Amino acid sequence: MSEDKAKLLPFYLLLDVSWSMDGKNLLEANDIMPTLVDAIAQNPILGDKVRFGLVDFSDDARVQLPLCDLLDPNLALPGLAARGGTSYAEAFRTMRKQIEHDVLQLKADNYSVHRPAVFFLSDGGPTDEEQEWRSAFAELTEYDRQTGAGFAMYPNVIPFGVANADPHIMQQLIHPSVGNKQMRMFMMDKGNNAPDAIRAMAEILISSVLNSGMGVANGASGVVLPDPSQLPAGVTSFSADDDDFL
Amino acid sequence: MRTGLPPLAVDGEALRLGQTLGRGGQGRVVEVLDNGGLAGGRALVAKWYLPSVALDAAALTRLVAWRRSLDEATRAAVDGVACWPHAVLLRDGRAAGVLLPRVLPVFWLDLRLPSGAHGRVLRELQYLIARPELLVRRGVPDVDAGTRLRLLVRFVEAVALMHANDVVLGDLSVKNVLFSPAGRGRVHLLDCDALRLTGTNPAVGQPNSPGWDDPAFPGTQNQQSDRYKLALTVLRVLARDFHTRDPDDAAGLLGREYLPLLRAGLSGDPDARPPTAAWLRPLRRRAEELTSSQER
Repeated sequence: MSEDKAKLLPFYLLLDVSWSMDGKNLLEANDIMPTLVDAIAQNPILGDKVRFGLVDFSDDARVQLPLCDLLDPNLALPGLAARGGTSYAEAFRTMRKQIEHDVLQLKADNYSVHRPAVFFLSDGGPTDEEQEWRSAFAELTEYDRQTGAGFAMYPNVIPFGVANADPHIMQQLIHPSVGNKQMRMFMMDKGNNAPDAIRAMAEILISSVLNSGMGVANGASGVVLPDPSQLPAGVTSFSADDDDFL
Repeated sequence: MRTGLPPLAVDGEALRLGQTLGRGGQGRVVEVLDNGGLAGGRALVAKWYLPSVALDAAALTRLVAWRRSLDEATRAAVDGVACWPHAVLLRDGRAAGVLLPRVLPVFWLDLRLPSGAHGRVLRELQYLIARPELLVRRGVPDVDAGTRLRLLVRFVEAVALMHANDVVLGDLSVKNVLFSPAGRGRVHLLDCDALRLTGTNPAVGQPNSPGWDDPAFPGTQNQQSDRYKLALTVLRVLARDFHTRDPDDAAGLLGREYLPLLRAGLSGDPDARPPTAAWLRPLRRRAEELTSSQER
């Protein structure tokens, strides 16, 4: 009987599957999961620590892969297909519901759980009204420790923007945006192509999952992002207060 | 005719470098194509630190000098179990990396991955702890109880050698110890640039892998915390559990008579922990017992 159980690290990929993602973009995005599975398979210790889930969104958001242990031999990876517009609000609302459900489930199974991390990948701006997605994002991420108001299980949010994603909007989706646990966003460089950028984002996602799982560099938030000098070509990372892009 | 000792520091520009072999949390490892006469012709790699890694050049030089200062037999013993810096690497006149011996082929492992592809990875301690079902899925042969104990003996011998020579291991983790089960077994300690000599500072920040930390020394690491981690390694390799700290989980393979040794090793009181060498006879005896009972 083990005294110690691993403290779990839940990761989610919140993926844009609007029509513009159809074709090569989606092929690359579809590759993320099997590549991540192989990477984790090479690190058996992570199977006990890391959980992964995938939610895709267009006009609505759907849980395509419920949070799971990627080393489960019975794992069946979903296929992704493009379907509609780009509602960020639906994405954030579904993500909030899912995190709440998953964290409560894990705790009921007697696990302790790190704050979840959400990698948010989009290739274009939202088709909803600004007020709509802003308030949905606030419901996902705001929490007042003093009063207990908001969402205690709020995730770290790491935006990945390719093609026509709006850097100013993506920048506002970095969470936390300040402090010693602040996150960063990753944007495709101008002139690059989206499928290649998605593959680069996949590398970043995978190395973050591996390094966070191994506790490398003692990342205070449990999520370890790559050093800006170590990014694959064609992608640059920014913090919430960088204004290096026009 | 030789004109003196090989330099402690080597200009990276003077080496012929090949492809990148790997990227880790601290740096990038690159193949060295031409040793320039160093290391007696043994294959070397260049480990370049990331700019964000705080490097103590003097401490790094100390590690290199320490190895050089050993007598031939001890140096050969160290080289046999540890990937120790052979020279400091300079870039623009400043310490920027180290030259390390290349890991031998016996410490590599071929895996069958879930996608069907094949991976070639270092045979890290995590593969000695991973459960049999997972090894089967990866196409990795399991090791029997006698071999398991023999590998632990090899591991303790390596740590004992380090401790006898005033080295602190610090961060012991499933990723920086390699093993090879063939024959009498072999282990290999990686990331020796992160080790330090007692009474000195480490050359690069010493990581402290979560789940392997010594509760008695939360912020620092020394030979006493090494002893704790050694005991934890013995426990987890025998229990095949990455997370347990309960000595009873090893009772089956270790044998009840050696449980007190394990309990002492895991004691919250650092002074109660047996010195590394105290493990050798018990583990060797146990390895023999298990091997001969398998042969019956």
